[in-house]
Amino acid sequence: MPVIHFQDFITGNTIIETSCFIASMLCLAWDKNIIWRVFPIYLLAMCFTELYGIFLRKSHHNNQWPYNFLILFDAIFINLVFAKLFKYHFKSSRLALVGFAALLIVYLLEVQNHGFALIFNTRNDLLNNITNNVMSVIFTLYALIYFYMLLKDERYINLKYSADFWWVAGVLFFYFGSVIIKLFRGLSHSELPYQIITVLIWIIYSCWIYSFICRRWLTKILDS
Amino acid sequence: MANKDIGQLELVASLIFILAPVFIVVYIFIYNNRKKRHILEKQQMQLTFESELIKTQMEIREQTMQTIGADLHDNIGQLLSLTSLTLNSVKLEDAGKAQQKIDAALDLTMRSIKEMRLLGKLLQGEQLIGLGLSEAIRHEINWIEKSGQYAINYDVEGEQPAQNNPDKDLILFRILQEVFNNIIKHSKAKEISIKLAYSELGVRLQVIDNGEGFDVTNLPDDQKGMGLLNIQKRAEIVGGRFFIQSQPGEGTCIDIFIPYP
Repeated sequence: MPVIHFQDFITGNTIIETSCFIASMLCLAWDKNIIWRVFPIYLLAMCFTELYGIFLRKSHHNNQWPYNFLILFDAIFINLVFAKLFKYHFKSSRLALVGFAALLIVYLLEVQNHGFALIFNTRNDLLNNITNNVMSVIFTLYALIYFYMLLKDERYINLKYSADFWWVAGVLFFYFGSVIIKLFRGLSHSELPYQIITVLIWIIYSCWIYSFICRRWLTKILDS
Repeated sequence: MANKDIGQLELVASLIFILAPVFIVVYIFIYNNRKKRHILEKQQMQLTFESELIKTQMEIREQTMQTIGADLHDNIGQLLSLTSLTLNSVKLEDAGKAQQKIDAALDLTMRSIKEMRLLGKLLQGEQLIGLGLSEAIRHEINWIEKSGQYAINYDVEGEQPAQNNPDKDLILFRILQEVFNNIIKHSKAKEISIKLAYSELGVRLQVIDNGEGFDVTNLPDDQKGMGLLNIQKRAEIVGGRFFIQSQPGEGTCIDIFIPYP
């Protein structure tokens, strides 16, 4: 059994993810909207997955399966948040439902191709590649639709302090920016994809932390 | 392809895919700032419009008061003085003459009452705009015709829209008052022709007089305050256009078009 040290868990990804979780706890735990209130739970799941992934890697096990499991949680939660954001501009439930159904179908097709080992077998090294790619496309589209609605809206919103805007900006940076990494997966054997993903993770969670701060304080100052 | 080439390609493509959202976010910020400026400009325009509307209402009221003051002094005051003089000169010993003077005093009193009724209608002028622009213009014309110095021809073309715009009516009515002021003060005209035409696009007011006219392109400094700039400014504030055609000795034609309602 290999020895795992505490500092093994301190990586670029875990630092920013844990910071984002703490920020969500401080800013959103008492939010009046249930979707924002669920954020700490979602981010806690994210942190656990990341830490457990490190643990599995350090103990020489394959660590893809927790991420394969988390992807479902991602799909549900981000769809819900977008459905809430679209609600200000148009009837969003149908669009969010279509997006989620598409993701679920692709996910189930992948499960059918690889068997349930994809999720439950700790020795598999398969990742939901197609689901990840489709998710990137759908969430990028959602973010662009949101920005288009924002441009079309005649009302003025101070974007500098808009929690919704910064949350969507983070999603767009991460899911659009990681398209290339996902397409090139398996072709390159360098550390570069991991470094780019780390940069993107820092961008998305920094945007989200600022979004939570806006949600907790700045938006209220503007409202008053 | 070598591993190094793939890595370089991956890096360049990823940079492009990270920079694209940066441009989108920057563009949205720039567009949003423009939206803010546009909203502020619209609010400013609305404030200007409202202040101009209040100014217009005040001017109409002032003009009405001036007309009433002048009429009380020149017409009703004179008639009542004459009535008083006539009644004072009545000698009851001479019944025949006394009857004549009393009849004359009665006639003067009736004329005073008629004048008072006309004044009353003038006082209602502002409310008349609520009934429609053409009705308010008719009352204004009746008042000017009373002086007996002008032959006025008034035509209304087209149907007034079912839903009128009292703000635009008020501004157009005030423009007409300004035009009448100019005609009375400067033109020495005898005939005035007024046409109010409603169409799907808007309302057009045309006033033609046969007065002295003037050189529009070369207006002397002392005549620049004739209210022409005011008329132009008011027409533009409601999105309208103002044209003037005049030559010395050939009268003046003023044409105003305003989108309506």
